[in-house]
Amino acid sequence: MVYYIYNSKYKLFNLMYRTFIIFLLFFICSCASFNTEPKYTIQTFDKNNPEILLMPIDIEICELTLAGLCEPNAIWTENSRENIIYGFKDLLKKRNANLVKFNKDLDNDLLVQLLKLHTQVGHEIINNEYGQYKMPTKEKFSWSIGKKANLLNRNYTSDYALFLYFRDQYSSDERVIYSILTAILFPGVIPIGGRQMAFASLVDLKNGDIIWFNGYYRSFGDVRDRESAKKTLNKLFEQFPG
Amino acid sequence: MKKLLLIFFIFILNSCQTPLGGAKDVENIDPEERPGIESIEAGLWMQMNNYEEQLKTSGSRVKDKNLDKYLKDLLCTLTVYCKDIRVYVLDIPYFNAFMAPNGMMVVWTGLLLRAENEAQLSAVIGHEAGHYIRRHSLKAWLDAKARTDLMALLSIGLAVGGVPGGGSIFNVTQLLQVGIMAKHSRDNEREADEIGLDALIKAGYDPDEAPKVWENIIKEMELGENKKPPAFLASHPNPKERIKNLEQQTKRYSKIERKKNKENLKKIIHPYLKKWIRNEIRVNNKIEQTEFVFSKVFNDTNNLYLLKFYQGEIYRLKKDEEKNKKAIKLYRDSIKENKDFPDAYRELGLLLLKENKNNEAKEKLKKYVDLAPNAKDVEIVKSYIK
Repeated sequence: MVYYIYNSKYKLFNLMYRTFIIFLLFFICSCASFNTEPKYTIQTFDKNNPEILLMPIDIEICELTLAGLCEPNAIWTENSRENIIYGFKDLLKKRNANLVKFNKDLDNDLLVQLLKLHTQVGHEIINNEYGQYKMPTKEKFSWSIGKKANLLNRNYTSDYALFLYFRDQYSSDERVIYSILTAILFPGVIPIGGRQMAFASLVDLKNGDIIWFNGYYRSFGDVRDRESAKKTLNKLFEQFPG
Repeated sequence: MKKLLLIFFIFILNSCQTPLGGAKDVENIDPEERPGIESIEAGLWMQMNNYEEQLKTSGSRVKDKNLDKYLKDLLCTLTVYCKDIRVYVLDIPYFNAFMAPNGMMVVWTGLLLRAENEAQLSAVIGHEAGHYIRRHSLKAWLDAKARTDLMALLSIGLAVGGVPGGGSIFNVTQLLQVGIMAKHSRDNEREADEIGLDALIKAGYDPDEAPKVWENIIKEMELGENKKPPAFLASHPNPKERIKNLEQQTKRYSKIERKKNKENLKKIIHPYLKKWIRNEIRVNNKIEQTEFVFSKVFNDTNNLYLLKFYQGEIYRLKKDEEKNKKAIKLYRDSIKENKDFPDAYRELGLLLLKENKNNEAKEKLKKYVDLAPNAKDVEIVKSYIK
């Protein structure tokens, strides 16, 4: 076999072999993503049928162009948002919790500040709990977005609020062909495919404490149709209370 | 085998959604037009709408109803795209303004400070509105996409063709890309200039003020250590060319009003002047640069005392003995121009204390207390007098 691979007369075989290696690498790459375990301080809700306020989802979905630019896609983003909301509603039903959707017209400034804060805190949690920047003195999982979170209950009477951050990329057809071609021509060089990054926090509205958190970074998964979105949500909401 | 790859290559070229020429046939956006949800433009808008939501509550934003209203009114006198564009002010002490594809216009305080009158500010706002009307963000995105696609394909093409020294050719294409990019963006700037000037003239402002904005920026930069103009000017047409274009454009109008409306602008930014001036000094540019900016801010004879005072502040804040002497002289000049301006007495008094000229220092500080009996720091200053 070695003879065949290195004999230039057998170029086609050589090419097939390279292609095989590339696909193998693709496969390995898609498995070696940044995957995390959920963190939580409660496993069951304090009361029966709690009300969970679903905050506006911070979501952006883009399509990778041939060269790898991330072209934001409005319709995918809107569909995915709907799919996630639908899937989450379904998920809560099984856990005996009720979902309340946020009304954007109320208190817009406060809302935006809380969303911005959650995005920052969420990234910090990922760095600290899953990444390299673990604070040596922080042993337990104890994070909060602050007591001001309870201001949300000026307009609602929810027990918890769920914050969700979602970024996803999908390769365009040109990108896929380009990736395969590049992989064949330059073994070892694999243009990056789409990546999905998500994290979600369940916040206790009494004190702003994050009582459950999960996040991941991976190169597979889809939310553009309901079935795939359901699978993605099952992964993201592992060990969700209830 | 090569043939097979070439077929692949051609297939990719054909499957590109964007023609490799980039964005040649992007039409003007209409007032109150919104992109269709499936368009590329809708994606850009979505991203910028999210950004705008965050910017609204940014700590750097200057939230002032008067200032917002002033800028909005100015925008509406300049263009019919009044409902499509929102102007935000960010407290950043540099000259800058930009336009997002979704109609979010951002103006930095460094620009408001430097604009000598409403006509100059209108030139910038009209120019930025021009970017919106001509959909330059979308054009820039399509161009960037086509360029990077071409680069990616060339890199494959060269490998397939087995061009010797393909590496260096790759570099050449990169250089070409940069050149094309600068040219495209210069074309966009020229278009925006044209729209901005038209708007300026129609609204009755003095068109000669438009190039002065750029001349002043160039002068300011030339006074600095790095004599090169700022990066954004590399992608803008040079001022001389701009002036020439302007002259030709003004010929199209038989009767031109030449209002400048200096007072309006100065009145609206007056509450912020002290803060913005301090920020300008903190940027710590070369003294000559900051002095040049201040000479434009206070270019009225009745403002001479403020010019002298803030020049003194530039020198004092450099914290250097020689410069302290210069500051003392400037504070004295300020007092000569206006005997009732308390701040000059305070800074002069405090500097004289440092120079051990205690008697004169106390006399100046006393004057400060007399002139500003309700100032926050009056008790501290009194303790110095004792």
